[in-house]
Amino acid sequence: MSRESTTPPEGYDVGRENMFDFKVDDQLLEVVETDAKNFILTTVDEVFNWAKLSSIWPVTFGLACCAIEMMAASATRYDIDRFGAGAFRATPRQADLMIVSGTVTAKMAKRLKLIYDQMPEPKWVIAMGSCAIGGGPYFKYGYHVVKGVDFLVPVDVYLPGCPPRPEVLLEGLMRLQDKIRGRKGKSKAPKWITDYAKKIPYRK
Amino acid sequence: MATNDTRLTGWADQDHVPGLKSELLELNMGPQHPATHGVLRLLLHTDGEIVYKVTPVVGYLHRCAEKIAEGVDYKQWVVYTDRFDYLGPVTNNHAYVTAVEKLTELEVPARAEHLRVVTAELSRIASHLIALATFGLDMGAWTPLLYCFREREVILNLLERIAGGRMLYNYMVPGGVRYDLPQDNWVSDVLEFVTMLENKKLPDYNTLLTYNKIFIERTSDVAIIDRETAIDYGCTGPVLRGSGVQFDCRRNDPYSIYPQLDFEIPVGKGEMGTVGDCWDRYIVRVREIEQSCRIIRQALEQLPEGPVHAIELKKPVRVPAGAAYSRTEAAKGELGHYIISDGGTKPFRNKVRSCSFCNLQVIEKVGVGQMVSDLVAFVGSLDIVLGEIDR
Amino acid sequence: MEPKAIFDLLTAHLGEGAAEYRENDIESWACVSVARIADACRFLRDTEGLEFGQLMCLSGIDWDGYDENGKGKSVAILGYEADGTPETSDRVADGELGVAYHLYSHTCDHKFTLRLRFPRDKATVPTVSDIWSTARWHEREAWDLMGIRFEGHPDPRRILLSEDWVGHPLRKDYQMPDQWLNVPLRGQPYANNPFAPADDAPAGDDTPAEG
Repeated sequence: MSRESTTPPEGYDVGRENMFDFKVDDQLLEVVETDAKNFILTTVDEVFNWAKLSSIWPVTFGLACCAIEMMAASATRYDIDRFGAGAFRATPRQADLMIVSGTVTAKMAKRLKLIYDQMPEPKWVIAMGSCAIGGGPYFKYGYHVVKGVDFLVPVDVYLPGCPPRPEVLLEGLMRLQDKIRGRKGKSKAPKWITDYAKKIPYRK
Repeated sequence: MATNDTRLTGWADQDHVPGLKSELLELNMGPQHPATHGVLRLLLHTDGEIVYKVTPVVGYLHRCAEKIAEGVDYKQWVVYTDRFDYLGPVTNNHAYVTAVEKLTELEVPARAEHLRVVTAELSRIASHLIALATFGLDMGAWTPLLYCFREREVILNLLERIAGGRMLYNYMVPGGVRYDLPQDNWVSDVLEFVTMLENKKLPDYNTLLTYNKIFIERTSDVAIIDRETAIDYGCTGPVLRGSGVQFDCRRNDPYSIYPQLDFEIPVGKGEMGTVGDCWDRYIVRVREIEQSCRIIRQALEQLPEGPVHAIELKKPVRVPAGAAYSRTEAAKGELGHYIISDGGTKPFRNKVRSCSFCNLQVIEKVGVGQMVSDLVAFVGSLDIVLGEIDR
Repeated sequence: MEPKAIFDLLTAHLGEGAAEYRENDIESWACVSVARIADACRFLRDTEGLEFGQLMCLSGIDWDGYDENGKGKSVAILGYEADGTPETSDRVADGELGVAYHLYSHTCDHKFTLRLRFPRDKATVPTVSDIWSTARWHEREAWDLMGIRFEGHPDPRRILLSEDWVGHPLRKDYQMPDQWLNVPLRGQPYANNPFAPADDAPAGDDTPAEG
């Protein structure tokens, strides 16, 4: 994925080696490499993927403090609507993205699974904030906190921060869009997601 | 709402089709809902329009903060206080460190007290802006949400320059604040923002929402909490002041430098309806924003020089044995901490008396007899935040 | 009115031996016997001149392991270990439980504190929810998190945790659950962190304090 438009001009001292010198997570690498090695996306797939990534509609699933940053991301300064993701649907039946923003507690876990199950395929999950990634600051003494939403649903993008800035949410959305862009096949979830979903212990 | 209200008692007689059995519908306004402020679940027994029984179910965000308090330091727990009322986080910090300082003999430097008040009032304005915005959103008004978030971004930028975080700051320690002013013209930026808010933005909101005929019809004479109910149910903050009781912890139980500052306590007077309706609670919040601007201006004018913390930040805080209950005025009401210390670096018991926990309980009494859409207005006017209720 | 004067009126009503007055330079409170607490609260609310119309806070307290010498050596609570499994211990708590009531009067502008102490196996207290309606939820929370029963309460259910939760978490011997109804509550061990700070980075004040 090249980002020529965001390369700084000649002679500009960014202060670091390369702004985008990050470590791509292994799952994304596997998806991209598999596609690059095995197949060339057909034009139809490209068009479908482009349509899906340009209009990701999230379901309103704000739980705690990160929800306020999600609201700020949909406000005027960090407008999420310019990515096509501004139509937050109240019902999961019409949504394809669940941004888990906030702490998932034991009491809420069943409802989270219900909402996830009600979303139609293809669907994605963004774990926003350190509580959704791994329990956050409630790791050691939190008897009612699920230590990470990936105990319950398969997660596509993890956004660290407590809470992550709205720009981090936008960056996570762009990474999710890259993931969707690299998908092949029409409306089936990639195999690694269905395999992972089968291995999740909590399936009730 | 009168007890001989025929809507409540004679509903079964209103069978429009004779012989058709009707029962109450048990409806769930679930934890995932666009109009409940967070993960609140309301169980309604309704006939479709009028609510006969409301049962709030809370605990979907119970994050075990009181148990954590027994396991971490006094200074480390300030991080968790931010997450109670995450809309106005600095006021929660202020409540906790005031309670800890009541047990110790720490002398907070004057500069720290002024910085505390300035950041706390900025946070209070941010919280009230969201209260206005989401209340309007529940009524169906989309524009005030975007305007209030735009103002809130300016506040968050100012607080980011002084405290380092955008939304949750961990700014105070028992004995002072963590950081001094930044080296740029922060003070003049705050004064400029406060002036702009008072002179240009608040009149905008008043024209858009406060004195809007539809808004007034939606909120006046709706969900009236009278004075005895409010005190009996332990309501505090704008909910209590909207019912006509002039009580504010900053004035009646003063702490920090509030005795030296000159500000008014707005009280609901029933201007558009009855005393204690939703509009009264709303206008109390709008006027509190104006008063907070006054407080910020005075506190910044009187800002003295000096250190900003009385403790060494790298060493743990040791608090002598004892117990104390101390309360401060957070953005949503009276936030109290009952801290029992055993002489060590961790509290023995820290009970958080949060304002929204007591404010929400009044819905079981006042929500009966409302229509479902009025109930949404009522929940919006109570301005609860689930992080505080569930801790 | 001063707390001592309020206490004198209270003992005049309750009789000798029902309440004791304690004070230090921070706070003063009245230790009331468990059987008379409802009577005392009703007297405090209804009497002319006292008029405690608002219950500010009702807290459940677990006094087990409290360091009476004030040196900070109370028994530590159990949490999760670094790899996410719950810590276990064989210690059974045997200390007393307690309840603290903080009252405030809007009309007379004075405060008062009442405290109860009772043994762990007799953790039943008369309710004050018919005196102050706000106590309903406070007492439910005390039952939920501390296991103190309030007799006469109209709705004695758990409030913050789910109805089928086992145990009372704020007790000092509570062991963290590994899972609840198939919802996993254990942690995940931290993976290899490529963004860990360098070995010679200076330790800030966020390292956990010892002693």
